Amino acid sequence: MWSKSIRALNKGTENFTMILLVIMVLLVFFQIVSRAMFSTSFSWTNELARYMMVWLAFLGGGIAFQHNAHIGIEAIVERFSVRWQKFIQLAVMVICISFFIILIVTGLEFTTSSMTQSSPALNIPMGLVYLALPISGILQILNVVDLNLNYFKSKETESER
Amino acid sequence: ACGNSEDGSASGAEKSTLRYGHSAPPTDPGGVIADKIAADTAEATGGEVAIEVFPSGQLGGEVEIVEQLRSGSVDMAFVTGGALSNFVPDIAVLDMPFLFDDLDHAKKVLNGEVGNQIKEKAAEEGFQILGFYDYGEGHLANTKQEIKEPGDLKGLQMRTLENDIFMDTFKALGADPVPMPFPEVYSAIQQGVVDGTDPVNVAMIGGKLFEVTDYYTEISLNYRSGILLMNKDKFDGLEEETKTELETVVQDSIDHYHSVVYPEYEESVKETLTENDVKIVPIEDVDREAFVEAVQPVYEQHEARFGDLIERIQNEK
Amino acid sequence: MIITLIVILTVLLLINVPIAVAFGLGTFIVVFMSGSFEVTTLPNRMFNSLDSFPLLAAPFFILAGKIMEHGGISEKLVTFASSLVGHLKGGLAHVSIIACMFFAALSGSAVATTAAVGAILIPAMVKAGYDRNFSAAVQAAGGTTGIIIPPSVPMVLFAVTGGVSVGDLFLAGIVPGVLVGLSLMVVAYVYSSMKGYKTTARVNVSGIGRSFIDSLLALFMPVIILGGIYGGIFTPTEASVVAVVYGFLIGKFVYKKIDYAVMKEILLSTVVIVSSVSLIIASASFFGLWLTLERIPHTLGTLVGGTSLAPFLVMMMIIVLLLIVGTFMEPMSAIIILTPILLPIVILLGYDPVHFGIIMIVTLSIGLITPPVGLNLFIAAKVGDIRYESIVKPIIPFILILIIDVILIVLLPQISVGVANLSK
Ligand code: NA
Ligand code: NA
Repeated sequence: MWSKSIRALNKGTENFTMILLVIMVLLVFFQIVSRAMFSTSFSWTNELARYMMVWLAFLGGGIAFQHNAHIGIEAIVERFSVRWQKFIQLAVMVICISFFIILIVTGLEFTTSSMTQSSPALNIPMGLVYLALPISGILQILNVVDLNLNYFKSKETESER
Repeated sequence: ACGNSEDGSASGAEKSTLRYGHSAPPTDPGGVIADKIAADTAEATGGEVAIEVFPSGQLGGEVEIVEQLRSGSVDMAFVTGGALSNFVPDIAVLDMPFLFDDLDHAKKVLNGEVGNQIKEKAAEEGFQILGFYDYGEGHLANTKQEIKEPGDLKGLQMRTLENDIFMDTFKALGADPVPMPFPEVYSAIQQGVVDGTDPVNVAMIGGKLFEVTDYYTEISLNYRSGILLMNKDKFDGLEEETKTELETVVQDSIDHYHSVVYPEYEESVKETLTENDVKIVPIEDVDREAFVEAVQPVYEQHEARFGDLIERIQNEK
Repeated sequence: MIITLIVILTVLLLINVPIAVAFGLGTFIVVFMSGSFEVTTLPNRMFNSLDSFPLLAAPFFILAGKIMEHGGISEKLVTFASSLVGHLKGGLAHVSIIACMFFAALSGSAVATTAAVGAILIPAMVKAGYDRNFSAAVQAAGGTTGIIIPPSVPMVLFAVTGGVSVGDLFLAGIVPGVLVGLSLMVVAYVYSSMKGYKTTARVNVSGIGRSFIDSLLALFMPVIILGGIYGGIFTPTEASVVAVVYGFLIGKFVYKKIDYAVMKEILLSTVVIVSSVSLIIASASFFGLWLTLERIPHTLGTLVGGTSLAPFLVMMMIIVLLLIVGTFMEPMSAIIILTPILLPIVILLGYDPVHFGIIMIVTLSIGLITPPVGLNLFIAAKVGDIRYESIVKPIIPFILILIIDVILIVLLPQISVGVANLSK
């Protein structure tokens, strides 16, 4: 049930962020063409493309865990015994989750306080734009937990052998 | 350090530090006045209140500085009206083209009841406006030709801010407005992606745009206000005595700014431009009436947003 | 507080906490303990550090590189390049450094340079038998030329903060940029000789001609970008999107290698790279804001400037300071904070402001390839698909030669200001 839901969630996030990337390309390309060929520019293309990149960056954080893409220093931990590695793995999970909880809490506070602030070009509430941060925190927690469940399951079967 | 200022109100002798952020280089008028305010405050309060100035956008862009001010990480900020208008929409009225006849008109309006209304609206959003300064006026710089009448702008690609009023102003004048972030502007003009822009003098000189443009029309297309802000809770938490001292310091700085700093800077601008072979088109050579006529559609498009503000501003001559 | 933070960061990084989490959490703990500013500044700063149009070039160039790799364009370009220099020791390494220098002449950003060239040439070098870690290191080092060879966004910032001419700085950057590029090629040559990388047989003129014609459509890509930027049609940031669109059209309709499944793979891998690098930029920027608000670079700068040593020694101390600051901060923030402090000091010591600007930019560009926070390293490691720590060893010789370059630039002002003076 758990893994199925996480997989579905990640599939959804993957599709969403990929679509964002495609739209970003089209937006900036549209900006060049409309300016160079039709001498027309719009105030919002730039801003929308930027906000989409920020959303892509934050939402992609969860998927990045699944692809083992978050950049860290792996070499030292690998020298420890398996028992220590398990312990460190657990500690890292707790550390990551605490940071993401901070991101969610401060992010929500910031989001709420920014609802009356509007974006310069699109004129939408900045709170909606900032919502990417708390959502990112949630996605990353779910994926860290999932990753650790799988890790400990695989270590369990290893030691049973 | 930000906790200190609150403690400061409890016991009078305690020292407090206020963080002051702005985006101008230290040598620009905005930077000079920040340092003056810091020095004068230290003197007026006998060292009890220290102001730490963070110039040159060290704390981020103008909008981000305002956000930090609102959350309380920064205590004071000097920003343009444009940055604050994202929080207090009424301030955007100042962006309207040829809204003021001259700087005196702007001063009268901002120190009058319109200014008070803006201050009240800002207070509702958590900002204490300490004072209004002339940040500058948008002129026209370009690489193609002298601009004396609206027809001279026809077909030119003019960089401006991501701001509908500025963009509609250029459209009304026959130019093609191109929104672009400031750090890209120098190279974009140099390489010809855009033909010009509507800089205030600090952008023209401090931003080095005089190196890549050839013609400069002193048209005062629009007015840009510089607003000195304080986090409202921080301000309210100050002791009455400190408040008065701070207000005096600010008022002195406003007087000094408008009588010495700003006019001297404007004078030096002409020198720099002439030395660097930028052809200046003075306002006397410009058909200002034709320009004012041409931007009327901008008023029709945006008037409704501002209620009776525009009318009140025009009546206050 | 700074000691506490360094201890926390070291522990977190050593136990393999993601760098983005380590910097975010470490800084947050210190902010929380000292109450030095409000906690919502965390999301505020993280968001704003990514909300930048020039930064968009990085994802787009990574995407373009992946499209060119999968669409067959990279292969053609590399075959052509190999026919020209494949018989030289470290031929492809030289190609990637030269490509970086050409790209640097278009773009004002080191990150965009690393992303754009690296996405094409790291896979190509690996295919040609180069060590993957070394290939990524070459790219990270070559990318530093992005901000040394004009145009350069950090130079514009230095000019604006320091009140010197952008044009003079741009002119003064040309020779140092070439010097840096050549010196990196020397390192690549020595390394390749030591590793005994096989060279391909020399290709005769008609062979080169054939490979030229075969790769014509691929070679047209840099022409479009170059022409578009210098023809004033689009900005360097926008050029990244033109590269994506052109690469896609050629890969899809001419070389017919990109189908729906390939495109999905390209998009997903780009998203993952962009996200992992961006989150580090965001957290490191929060850390940088803390440093700024606590005035730590400011205090160090004033300390160094206050010593009464011989001018050359003070300059050496300033360079050490810039290297240390550059280890944790990206060049633009460092320039904004340190220029107003350092410039008056070096002017008193008799240095030309333009000369100092170049010294500062080259030194800070080294910070882009020094761990722990080195944006070029992150991007090159991700694009090269290697672990972050694997790039650290091969990058060291490049760091050393760049430091020698800086000293040369200090000792011989003609290298930088000579060109600017000639033009007067
Ligand atoms: Na460059
Ligand atoms: Na670094």
